[in-house]
Amino acid sequence: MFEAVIGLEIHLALRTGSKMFCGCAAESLGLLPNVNTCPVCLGLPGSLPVVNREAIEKALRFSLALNCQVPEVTQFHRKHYYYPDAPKNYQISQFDRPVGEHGFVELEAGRRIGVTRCHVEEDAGRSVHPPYAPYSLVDLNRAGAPLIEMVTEPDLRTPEEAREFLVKIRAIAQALDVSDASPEAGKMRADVNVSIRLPGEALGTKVEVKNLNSFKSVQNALAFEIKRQTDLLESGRSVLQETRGWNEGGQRTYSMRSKEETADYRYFPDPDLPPMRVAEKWLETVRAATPELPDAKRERYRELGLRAFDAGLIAFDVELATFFDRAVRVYEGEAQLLANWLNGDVAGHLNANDLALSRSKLSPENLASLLTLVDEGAISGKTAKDVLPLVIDGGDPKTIVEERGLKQITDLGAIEALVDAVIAANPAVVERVKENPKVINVLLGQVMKESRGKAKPDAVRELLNEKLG
Amino acid sequence: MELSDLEMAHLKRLARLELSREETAALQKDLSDILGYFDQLRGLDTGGVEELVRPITTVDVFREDVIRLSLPHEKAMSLAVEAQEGFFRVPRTVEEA
Repeated sequence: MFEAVIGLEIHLALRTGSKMFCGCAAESLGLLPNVNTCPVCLGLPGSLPVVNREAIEKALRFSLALNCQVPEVTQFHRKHYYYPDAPKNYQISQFDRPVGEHGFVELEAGRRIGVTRCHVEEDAGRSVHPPYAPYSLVDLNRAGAPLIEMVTEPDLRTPEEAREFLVKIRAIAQALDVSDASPEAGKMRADVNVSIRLPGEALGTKVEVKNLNSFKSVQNALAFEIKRQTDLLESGRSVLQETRGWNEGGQRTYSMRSKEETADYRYFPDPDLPPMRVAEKWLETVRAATPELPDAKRERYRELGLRAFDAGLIAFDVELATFFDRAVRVYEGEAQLLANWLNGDVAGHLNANDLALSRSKLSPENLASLLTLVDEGAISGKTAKDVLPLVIDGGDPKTIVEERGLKQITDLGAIEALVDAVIAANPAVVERVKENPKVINVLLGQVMKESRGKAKPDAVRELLNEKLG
Repeated sequence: MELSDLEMAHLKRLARLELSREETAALQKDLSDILGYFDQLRGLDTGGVEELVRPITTVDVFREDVIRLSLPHEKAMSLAVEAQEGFFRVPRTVEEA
């Protein structure tokens, strides 16, 4: 049985205000083409790039979180190649002194995945290829935006592990405010290297798969590629070392025309960009500014009494975690209840309406207050679910319950009056209860209806049993 | 140190230079001379000399993360050889799918 050997190369757009080496905005999503450029990112002669300190600091923060060793001096190199979306005919990148090396990330099962290196570089522009035209169009708005590239050791073994790794990297990047790390918005891109071998044997021929725009595509492309390579070897053929693309529609990888020449990037230190010393003092500031990482967060949630699944789900989603932390501060009930609501009804309602938690008007305080009303017996769980959409739209739970008269009837006398009225109005049903005790539910339903859902069902059932039993 | 014809061809390709036979020969000689000069340097005893990667000692040049005004679109495009719909237009870079 073959085993897969997988390595990832991940690009993350750094979250900064300005680009890596100039003052143009780092974010250019939705802009008209070529309105976010300057002599530096257009690569005009005589322009001088200057390093964005914030970008280096965030890259250091990320490297430290991945347990990387950070060098005393880091520097930029020029990587030469010709492509129209790289206007200088070289990309400013890092070579022998990247911001981080020899790190690792631990997977759920405790296995460590090596992080070979993390380096900072500038993004390229965007090319558009109109169908059947003899030309391509280039937009340089994104050229020069700051990126982190991280490369793993070939330590991953299954498509599921690769996905887990990506989810973890995204969570870390978001928690550290290093990157939005959203594949959908192009802020996180992954290329994979995959080969197969018999366990214990030397590495097989590897294939690189590019253009993977979601975690799901990474997982699916790997599964497809492992199957394809296995079929080849089992039928006595061999795997060709090549770069393949991923066809999302067809759910298959395809051969991309191999380059006619092997890359010769002629790296050399960029003479425009002096080396940067990473003093211990700087690292101390970086460490001090590093917020709680997802693993630590999950541990804390477990200690609050959350089930492992919910703890992980919340800890690995920075938006959810921020919300949960605020809610848990004001909510006095069980933290698990809060998690149930967040991961259940709230998530369901938001998904159904294609709404992000941060875009909704739901405040942690209002969710806590809604749950408190249930805990105090003021409203039933059912009522809470009914009014949740209003609370998500920004409504204050207490006001909603008051104004709509949704408070539970806890006055036993009032409930008894309702029960008596329903029994008197339904003699035929009462007869049938004698034959079949389950029919009592019909009466229960009637009472609940009469009370507009406000009677406590337990109390109603008890009274009905008492009177008819 | 003699630069081979093959190496010359590779360098021309990397630099996207089109050179005549005479120009190539002249450049080949110049480049070979430069390599020869480095061979000569290699012969020196540099045991006691500290490594110098850059001739200038400047380090840690940073800018703060501040957004500045970008170039107006017309100005950015004014150097374009060809433009279309606000884009730079270039020879097609991918095959038709």
